[in-house]
Amino acid sequence: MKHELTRRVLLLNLLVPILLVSHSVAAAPPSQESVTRGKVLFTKRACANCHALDGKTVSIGPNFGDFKEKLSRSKALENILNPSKEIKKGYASTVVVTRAGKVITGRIIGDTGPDVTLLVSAAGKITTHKFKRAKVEEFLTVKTSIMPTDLLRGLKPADTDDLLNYLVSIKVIDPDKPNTDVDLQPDHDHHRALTPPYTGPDKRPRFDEVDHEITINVIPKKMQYTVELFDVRPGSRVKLTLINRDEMQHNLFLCAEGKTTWLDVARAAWALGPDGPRKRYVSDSDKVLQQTRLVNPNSSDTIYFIAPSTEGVYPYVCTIPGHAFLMRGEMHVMSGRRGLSDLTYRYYEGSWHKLPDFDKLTPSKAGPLKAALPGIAKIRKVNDHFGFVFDGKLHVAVDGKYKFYLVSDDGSRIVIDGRTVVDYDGEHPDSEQKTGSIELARGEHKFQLQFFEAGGGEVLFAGWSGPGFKILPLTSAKGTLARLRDPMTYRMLVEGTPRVMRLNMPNASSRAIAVGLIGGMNYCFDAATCHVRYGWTGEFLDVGPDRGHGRGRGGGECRPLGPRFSIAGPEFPLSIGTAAQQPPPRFAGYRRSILGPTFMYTLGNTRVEQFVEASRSGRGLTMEFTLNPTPDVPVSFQVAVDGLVHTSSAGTWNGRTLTIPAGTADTFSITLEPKP
Amino acid sequence: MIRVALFTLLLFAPAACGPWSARVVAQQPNVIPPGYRVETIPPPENVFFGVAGLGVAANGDVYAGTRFGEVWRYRAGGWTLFADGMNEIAGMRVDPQTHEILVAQKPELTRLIDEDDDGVADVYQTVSADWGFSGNYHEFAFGPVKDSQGNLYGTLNLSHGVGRRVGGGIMSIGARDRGTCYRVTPDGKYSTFAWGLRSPAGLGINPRNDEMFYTDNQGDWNASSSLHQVLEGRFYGHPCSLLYHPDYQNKNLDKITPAEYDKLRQLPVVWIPHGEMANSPGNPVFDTTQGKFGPFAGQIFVGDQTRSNIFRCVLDKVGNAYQGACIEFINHLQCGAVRLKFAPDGSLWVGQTSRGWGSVGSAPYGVERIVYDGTTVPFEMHGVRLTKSGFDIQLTKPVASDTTLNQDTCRVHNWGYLYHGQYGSPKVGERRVESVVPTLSQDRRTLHVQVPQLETRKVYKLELPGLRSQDGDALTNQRAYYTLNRLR
Repeated sequence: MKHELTRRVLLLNLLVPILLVSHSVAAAPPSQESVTRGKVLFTKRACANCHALDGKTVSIGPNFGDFKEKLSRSKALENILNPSKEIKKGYASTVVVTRAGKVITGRIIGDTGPDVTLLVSAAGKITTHKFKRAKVEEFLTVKTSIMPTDLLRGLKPADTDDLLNYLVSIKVIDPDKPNTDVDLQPDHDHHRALTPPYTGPDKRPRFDEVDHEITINVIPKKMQYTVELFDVRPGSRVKLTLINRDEMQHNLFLCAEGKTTWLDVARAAWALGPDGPRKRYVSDSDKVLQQTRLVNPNSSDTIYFIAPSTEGVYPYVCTIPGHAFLMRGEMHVMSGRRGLSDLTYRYYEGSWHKLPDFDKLTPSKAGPLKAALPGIAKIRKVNDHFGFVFDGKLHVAVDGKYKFYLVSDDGSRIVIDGRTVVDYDGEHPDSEQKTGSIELARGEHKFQLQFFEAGGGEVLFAGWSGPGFKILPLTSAKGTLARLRDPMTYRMLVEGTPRVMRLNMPNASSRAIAVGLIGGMNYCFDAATCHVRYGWTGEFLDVGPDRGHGRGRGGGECRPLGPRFSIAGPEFPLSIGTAAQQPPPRFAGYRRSILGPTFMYTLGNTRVEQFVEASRSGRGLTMEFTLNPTPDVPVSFQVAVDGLVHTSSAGTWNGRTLTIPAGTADTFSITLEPKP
Repeated sequence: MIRVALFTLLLFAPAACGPWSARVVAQQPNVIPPGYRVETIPPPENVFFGVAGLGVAANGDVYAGTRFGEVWRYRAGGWTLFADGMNEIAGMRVDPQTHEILVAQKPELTRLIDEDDDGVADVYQTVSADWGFSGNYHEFAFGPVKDSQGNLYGTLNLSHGVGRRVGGGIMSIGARDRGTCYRVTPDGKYSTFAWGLRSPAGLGINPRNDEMFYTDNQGDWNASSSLHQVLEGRFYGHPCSLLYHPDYQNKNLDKITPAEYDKLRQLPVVWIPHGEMANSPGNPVFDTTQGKFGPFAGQIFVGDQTRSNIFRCVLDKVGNAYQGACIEFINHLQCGAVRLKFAPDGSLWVGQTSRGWGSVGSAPYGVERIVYDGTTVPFEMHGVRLTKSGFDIQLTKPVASDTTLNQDTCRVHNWGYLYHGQYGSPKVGERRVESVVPTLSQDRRTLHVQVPQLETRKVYKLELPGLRSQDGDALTNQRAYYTLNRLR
């Protein structure tokens, strides 16, 4: 949900009676100007993100055009201030935890057969997610409305007046529709728009000396902590400050060890229901280790604590209802160090087309650096034709495989222990992300980052990821994390729903369709020949070359982001009767679902539906075919490439040829996997 | 990165908008007729929203198809994602009655079906994938339009850098059917409808009479951007597609001279002078608003990618063929205006992109809406009609009664174009044409311009620099470019 809330705190509990009285007594109709201003606010305050007016659009919140009666002013105000008091039937939100460990919150809008459909609002967009019931671990119904309780904060009384005038002016489109029931919840002090934070004496522990000092900001309007991962040593003294620059209140609760304990803590706080604000969203959950106070906009709170003595992942979360899905992070307790230290830099001026051997050149300046790798602007003395080298120690906390990321304009390179890990040399725009991986043992490693700039713009972002942690920035330039996590959005990943993309793919015709399934299996279906050419595991696809990285004209081949395995040649593998009599397959399209697309094509008069999923072992692909009408001749399938293990649900194999007897090939599946 | 390198790329790419467009296009003054305003529709956040397909349903829902293959629906002031994963959408049709959604993506024409009516397409049904497609970046598929019989039509861009070139041209044919207009019948039969297209970036149909028009972009074998009426079986000037024409299978197309091709080709209905009116026009759309969009009901509006403007095309039937004029309408929109569609409320939606080909408007992408206030009558040239002795210029309002008509009231220039395989053509023989002092009709709304010696195969620029209306307005757009193919 998008929250666009403005500046300062306003004590609405003073304002409310005035608003209610002014219009119930002086019942003059509101001016058209006021209604128009209110309409603008309706959009600006993000109301329109979740509420439609047309009586039919299905969205996160109730459709105002669907109401039997016009809203009264007092009812409208009450609903805004206390959205949880009455939740319209069917509009409670649900937390869906999938077997794969994914957590998605939304409103269930479809629950028939094996599928559950969830409407999800994130970053101002509303999307539909369909789940197979069987793939869901748990459904948790949230008693609290997903609607923020502080939507009026920062509005002037006149603004609130306009908004209410607009709300009561909304046309009721379908007055004959029966009134919808409401799930009533206990009443409480619903006029309280703001929860007064605790202001009494601070008797909490405090250390004069600390081992770790962590400062976490709240990104304004984004419902996000600026720090989503930090490391501390077991038993160390920690000072943690939460600075709230957002326009809403927030807190930070540190939770017990475990990847999902944040959900328990958040649920316990929401379960307080109408008592939540009065209790400042503090529940008696035993999963809470530490907590800040409720922090007002433009305020901060600092807590001191001793880190747990057990190594592990300790999530933290904001417990205000609805915030947890965006506002959370992880504290990692580990005895080793992680990250860079003892940094120095060397700065050179010169004109190159590739990274020079800096060691043979004389730097025009050099010196030590404080903590992180600074931005280019902090180092360079001229706009073009320069380069630099950062040297330092990289501390690795656990043995394992580490991945390094570079986005740069122009060339850059990461060298660890004398070995080039990522090479992004040459003159180029920052339109790609280069990565490289290396096995590193726990302890210290020699780290070097080289960079040069020829002319024009310059950009340098570097980061790394490893066992137990997602991408962390190595450079401190603004936007580093965003660019590394989502480099120009041309690195397509599968998140929540499968990807189905028609693009210029390697080893396939121009009518290829790339599919990324949930769980890390991907494949390429060629719609010109109607068969699967190859699969790959891991991440999905870099589409930058085909899309010109958003600037150029594109047309290059996309890059699958994992190791490929071929399962077919260019020939269509399925035959009904003898291959000679068979007309070429004719593509008819596909149907999408949460499990992936089902392709449709015809072979003469036979309609074929083909669904593809990861094989049971996860190494190959299983293709399910449905033929209609069932052929009254034998159906055969030919495996064209070497090195595959083939199995099927029907028929008999003779070498690489599967034959299914006449009249039985209505549905069957074929699994093709590379030999282990 | 070196900026020079980028610029060079732009300079030498044989683009739809022309290699030297970046140089010839000067910043234009903001032109907008009184009574009209431009509204910018905020795009969805964090989405590369290069809109090259646009459709409006009867209920006012607007569908925008993007070059990254997504379809977004605009309803109640917000965008939601309706479909994604298609291969570069360059055209779209939403049926005003049935709400059928058709999308032209590079490999096929696709019907998007939202079976459960949840606002997200479930089925991506292939309507036709029968045209050749090599995968080349330039092989856009434009359209579709539907005639009253239910036939669908679309146009297919030529290739660049792959396949064969013809007659010293620049664009190539990487697969069959490139450079043609196709038809798909209601029962799915695909056939080629017209030949010889180059970069036919927009197709439009007059819903009243099924007359179809497409625009082409300046380039090889096309002297300047142009508006054409699409007629069955005709050849429109670029020889590449003839490689797959049954009558030319065994002929060496390189041996056929431009003069011979010239005899075969269908001339444009309207030449759209490069650099002055448009460099890379999009789809022609007929004003079907019956006055809701102002005094131009029935006329054609076209947007341009490079110059980020919108102009009108007014048709004049001479004998049994159309010719006509183009007149600027609004210029300097935020970004390349490739797609126009009228909404039921009479507003004109504009889909915009500048990816790959630069535009005067500096935004990378966007959507705008042109809204008419319903009452103001702007002072504009309404239409231009060829007479036996010159041109009649119809105006939207009477000319001021104190106007003194003289030799400079209407300045007339004309020029011709070369037809060859090289990129574009200079104006050939451009000159000021002698004209008699014009006269006004009795209602002072038609200016009779007499030109002693009218010539065919010329573009006539008619310029009215100082004209004022009776109620004191200056003419917003003072130039009309009339394409004279035939004398009346």
